[in-house]
Amino acid sequence: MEHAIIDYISEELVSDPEVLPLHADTPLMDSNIIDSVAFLNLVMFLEERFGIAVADSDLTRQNFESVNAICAYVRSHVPAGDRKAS
Amino acid sequence: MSMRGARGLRALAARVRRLVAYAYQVGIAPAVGYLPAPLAYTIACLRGDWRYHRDVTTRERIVDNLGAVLGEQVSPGDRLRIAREYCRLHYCAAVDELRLRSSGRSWTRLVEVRGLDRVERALAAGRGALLCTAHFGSYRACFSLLGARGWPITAIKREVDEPGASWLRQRSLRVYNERVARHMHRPNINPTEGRFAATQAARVLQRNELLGVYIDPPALPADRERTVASDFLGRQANVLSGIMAVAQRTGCPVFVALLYRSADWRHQVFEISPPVSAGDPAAALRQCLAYVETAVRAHPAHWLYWARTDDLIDLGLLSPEPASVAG
Repeated sequence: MEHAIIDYISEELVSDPEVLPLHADTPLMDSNIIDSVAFLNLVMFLEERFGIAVADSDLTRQNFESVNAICAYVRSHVPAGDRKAS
Repeated sequence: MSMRGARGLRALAARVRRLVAYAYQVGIAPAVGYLPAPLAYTIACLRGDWRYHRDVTTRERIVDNLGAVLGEQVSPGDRLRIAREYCRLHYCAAVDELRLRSSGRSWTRLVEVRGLDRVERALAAGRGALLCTAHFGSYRACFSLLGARGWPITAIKREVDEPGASWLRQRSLRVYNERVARHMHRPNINPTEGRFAATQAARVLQRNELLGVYIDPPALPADRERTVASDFLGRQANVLSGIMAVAQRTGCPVFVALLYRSADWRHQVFEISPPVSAGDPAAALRQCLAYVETAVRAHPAHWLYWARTDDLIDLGLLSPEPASVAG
């Protein structure tokens, strides 16, 4: 999961190659790594790839501050039957 | 008269002016919203004329900026007429907002909406609709018009906040933010709060609701790297195209919606364009700005930024003033 998310952000969302390589603990919110529209693409990617629905109330800094935080959030929302596959 | 006496007189005059301004804000201005429409808008026009004559700085700024951007397309006489209409429109827009109290019917019945069937068809298709407007006419209330008519609309809008303002100003801003800008109590999406604005906007469209956005403001300093240069008023304007990417990502149709004031000053027409058909976000933005440009050229007094030189510079429509050359 971690690699899939890092790869997606690195290949599809990052416009400035100087911020690469990304790490699981790289802060995503404070830096200019991803803007608002890129963030929307990330949320839609997570929903499509991992079969989760990100609720409006879950759009918080805490859930998306790094790839580690995103993985923790996704793991807690992936349907039980899909956890092994992800 | 002694220096001390003159200073005392000036201080007294300033205090009287502040008192009159306070009385106007507390008593007269809100009461205008309750008057019959013909009388309320006549008072607004008189107030606008008063400002046009008294506020020389604003008048000259509007005239200069019209000349700098539109050049010979607007004659010197027309620039003065536009400046006067601009001042009138400012106070008429304030009356619009005052008439939005409670159900808002005392204002919405004065506005004819054209092209609403286009939005109805868009919502029937189930993908929401993006309504793009500009700082044009009664722009602060235009989305509330649809909210007051029962349409589910959310706007992307910076909350108006003046931390250092007086108690009275803070109170009127709170009333404005809660009653007018939020379109009948629906919260706005604040684009300056974190990275979630685009996702929140997409959520509105995915719920098959209306999303309103202003496409012509200058970008904030933090966003200036992401602006797109688009043809506008004969120059290249630097504006953000992010919302068009959101529309494209969610597959929702994009419309331009502008509110025009009639010659009698109280009736208005809210016109919704056919859907914008463009491939990429930058092209969609260009098409929307072309609609806005047509409207601004036909009704120049409606456009807010003529009195805002700094914003015109940030938009790229005016060059920063050259530094004075010594010697």
